[in-house]
Amino acid sequence: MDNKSIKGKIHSIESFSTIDGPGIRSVLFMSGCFLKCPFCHNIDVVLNPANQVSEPAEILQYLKKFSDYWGDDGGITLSGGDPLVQIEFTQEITKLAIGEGINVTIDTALISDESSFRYLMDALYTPGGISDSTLRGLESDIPANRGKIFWMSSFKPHIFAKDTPGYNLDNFLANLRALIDRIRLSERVSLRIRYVVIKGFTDNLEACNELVELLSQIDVPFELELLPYVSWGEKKWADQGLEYLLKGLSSTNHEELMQFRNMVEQQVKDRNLSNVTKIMPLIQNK
Amino acid sequence: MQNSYSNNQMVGGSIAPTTNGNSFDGHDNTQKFKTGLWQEDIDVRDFIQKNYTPYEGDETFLAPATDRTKKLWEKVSGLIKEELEKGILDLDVNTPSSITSHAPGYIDRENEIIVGLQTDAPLKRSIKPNGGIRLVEKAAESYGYTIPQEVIDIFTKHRKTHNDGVFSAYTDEIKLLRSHHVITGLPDNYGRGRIIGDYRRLALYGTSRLIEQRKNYLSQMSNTQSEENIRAREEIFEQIEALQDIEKMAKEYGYDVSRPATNSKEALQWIYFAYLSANKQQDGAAMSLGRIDAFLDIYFNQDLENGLFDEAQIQEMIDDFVIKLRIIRHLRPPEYNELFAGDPIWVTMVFGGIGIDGRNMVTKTAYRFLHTLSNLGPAPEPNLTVLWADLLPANWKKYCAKQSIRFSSIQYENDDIMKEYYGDDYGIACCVSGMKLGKEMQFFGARANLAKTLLLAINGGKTEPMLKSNALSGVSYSGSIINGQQGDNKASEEEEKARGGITIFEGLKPLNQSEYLQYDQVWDQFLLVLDKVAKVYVDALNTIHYMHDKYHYESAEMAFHDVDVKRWLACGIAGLSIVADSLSAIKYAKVKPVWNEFGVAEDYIIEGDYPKYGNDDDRVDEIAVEICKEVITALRRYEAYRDSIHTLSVLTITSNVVYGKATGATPDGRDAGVPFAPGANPMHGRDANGAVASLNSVAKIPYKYCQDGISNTFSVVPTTLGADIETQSQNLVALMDGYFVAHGAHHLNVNVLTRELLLDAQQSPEKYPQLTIRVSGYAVLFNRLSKIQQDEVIARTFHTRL
Repeated sequence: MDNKSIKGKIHSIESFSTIDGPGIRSVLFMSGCFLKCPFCHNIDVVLNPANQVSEPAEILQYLKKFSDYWGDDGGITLSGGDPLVQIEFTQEITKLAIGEGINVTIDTALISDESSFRYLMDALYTPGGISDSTLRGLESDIPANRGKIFWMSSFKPHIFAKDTPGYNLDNFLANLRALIDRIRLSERVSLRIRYVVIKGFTDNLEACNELVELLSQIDVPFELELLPYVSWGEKKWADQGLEYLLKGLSSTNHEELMQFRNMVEQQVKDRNLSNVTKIMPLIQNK
Repeated sequence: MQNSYSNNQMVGGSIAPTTNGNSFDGHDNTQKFKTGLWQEDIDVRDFIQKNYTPYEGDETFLAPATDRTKKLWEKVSGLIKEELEKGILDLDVNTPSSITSHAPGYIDRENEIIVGLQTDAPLKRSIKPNGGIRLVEKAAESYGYTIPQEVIDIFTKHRKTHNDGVFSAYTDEIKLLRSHHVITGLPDNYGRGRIIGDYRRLALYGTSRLIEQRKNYLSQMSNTQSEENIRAREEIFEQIEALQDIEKMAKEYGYDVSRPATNSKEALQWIYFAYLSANKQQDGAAMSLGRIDAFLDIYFNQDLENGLFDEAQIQEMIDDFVIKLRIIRHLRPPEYNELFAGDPIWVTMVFGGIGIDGRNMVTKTAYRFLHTLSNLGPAPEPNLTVLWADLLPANWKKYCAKQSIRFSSIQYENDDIMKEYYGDDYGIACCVSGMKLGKEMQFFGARANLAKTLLLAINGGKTEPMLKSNALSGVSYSGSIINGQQGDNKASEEEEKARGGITIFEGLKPLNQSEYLQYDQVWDQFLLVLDKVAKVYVDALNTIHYMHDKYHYESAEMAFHDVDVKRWLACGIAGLSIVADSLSAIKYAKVKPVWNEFGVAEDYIIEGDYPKYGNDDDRVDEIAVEICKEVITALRRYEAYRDSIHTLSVLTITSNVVYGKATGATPDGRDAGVPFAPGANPMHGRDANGAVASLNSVAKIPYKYCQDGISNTFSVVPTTLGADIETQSQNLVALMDGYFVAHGAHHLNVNVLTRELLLDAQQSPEKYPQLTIRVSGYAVLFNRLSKIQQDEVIARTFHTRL
């Protein structure tokens, strides 16, 4: 494949973020998504054509201008939309970044064609491939998070997934399995499961059970991050001329988020799920 | 007379020594300090370097406010509230202020630790007509006071003022550029300020020693009476008189400052007296305090060790001192508020930094001063300025960040880059102006309107219209506010200004040869006009400072300088981001001027997109850098008064609103009258790629070209920094390390708050009596800003993300 021909469709860039993965991050919002989640607060990114079309190296060059702010934990985050929609671009920019010892966080719903996802896994993690070999020589010098790929994969319980156009649980599970297999092979890949807490939909015991059931199937260490539903996305749907299904639903507040967190934590404890290394609530902007 | 120690007990009731104070009764205290050059010569830096103790620990040692402090602050807060409602609390119209003009004043005599007020009552303002009597009259009148005819007579018939001096020597050219807002905000009718006395000298040496040093100087200087020597002799004579007056003033409060301070409480009191004397004599724009943290820390350490005071008492003294700094006031006319909103004094104090020997200069006392925000709540003054450096202790960096997140009342400046110019004993005057304490001073020069300069270039030396042709007829224009008056024949003059076409510079052609503006043509003509503006600007400043020296000399402040000082001529520009974006638009998009019937461009049509300053895009950021280089180069072509050296600031204070109001449409797409971005900030909303990209663009402006400071005001929503105060402060430290250490930027105002909070404060000011925000190099009470200024602050980019 001719790498030069790969171009990314970019919606926007946020040079400073503390909520899109570990540490301070510069985020690439890539256009397009396979899904149309009712709670989506970036529907403009999902639907809109790109504001900018650029090659991976070019984009990375720009993002690297912010590297002095990343510290030991931060780096770049590929978000969107969903980076798996532009899987070739994602693969290429990730390879380039990892090759330079940059931490890459990929924020995804893990929904994509299984064979292309496996292809991505293979490309990124061929034994002796980039993430292991490129950094082997540096290993002792660089902070643990550098040159790592950090997968942030959101999970939707059935009650919500059924209302999400494009969502397919089997597809998600197959891709998650492929990812876990890779994580076992490399120390430089890690996983965070994300879960959006929506009042009346995903904050009840049933949904919690389903989440914990999923967690129990993950047999590598990982983090869980709980995101509050935020209602500010509503305006963006209106701007796109779309009907907002969650109309009138208020944002999940910190207290409600913590309640759900306690529920999950209790179950994780009860079931002795030692692979869950952290359960983190995310504080969102108001 | 009584010895000063027993006097202290009488005045400051609650600061009783924890041990017998005998050993402090006398002058032998200095013997406990490490000896050095500072004893042979006036050399405060040497004293500090020999004696201070760097502190690496955290903030857990700090003491809370005492009941006394709370009570006193409550009383002062009540007075400030009353002042806000009335405009000013009180004014003494009869007594032109001097060091000794007013009898001692107190807030609550029994409960004050550090004493001294500018007049005989707290927040009662005084008049200082030497700057200009008309301004004093106008200011008084605007608050419902009348200056007695006898006072007016003195300053019109018998004694010339600075203001009259300047206008008797201004050239037509200067007046023209001034009235068309090309150079504005000049200190030609108010005190120039921005001079920092090394007030620590009073504490370390006392007046006797300082007077003796000056007398020695006089006896040894050349006895040839050249113009320069005559002036020097007169100035030194006045400085000696000022020192004698300070001694007199202190005596009225029961203190003998002819001798050095013998303990920390005296050291603080002596510094305050010295600073107070400057404020009784002058009302300059920016009366800054300098750098007293490590100096005072030496005294505090000694008193702690000796058991004279404990931590609670030391904090109480500092809280009391800071209360005094919070109520320094000057009489300002309403239009002054357009330039410098919120009644600022710029009691700028710098903290921390790293010594040239590499030792950290953060002391416990730096913590104590930042802690006053917690003990007293936020306030605009003093203007807390942290000197940021790579090697500062991690604990200190984190504490500063925490206080910023809590109070939005701190600014940060890059010690690593300033140290190269000023060593490790410098202060900041006003917002961003560095100078060696006691060794350097500056001639404040406000700023030139760079956006107007560009428009003059495009319009062939003629003024741009403020209104479009179709809006001109029948509209009574009220765009000019700096000069304020709307006299009878003003209306037509203003209308003429509104349609533009008035010739400012002869011999230039408008750039209307082609449909679209050509970058090279615009750039060349811009440089040509810039050179002309620079010439007139330096001429104006030379005139102003000649007259200020002559009619309104700062003998109190200069008494705390070396006799021979180095002088900076501090020039400035407004509208940097507008000009950079305009040139970028001309270069990377297509810009078509819309010419009106008077042959000047009333609007610009932009075809296509262009790179905008504030997105870390070198294509436009390099234009901004080039502009700064050209400005300082142009300024330095013209000789400056008293061998001063030209410097340049990119700082607007709050005048970005009023400058914008007086500037027509610009080729970047900005409409006529729209406020500029403050200082070196990117234009509101154009920094589309987030905080770091925006910071990186500003960081590219080299300090080398803009040695008088590059101001950047940064507002971030708390949760954007992280979930909890620990994460937030860690991330704010990382941001500042990236900005200052990795990218070598100069200045950052940090606001951590939400736009919603400001909107609510605008609606319900009574809910936020102490809401303080950083604007452009200083902090203001949000409630003191005018509606239009509040709107501009609210419109600024808040770094957040949806």
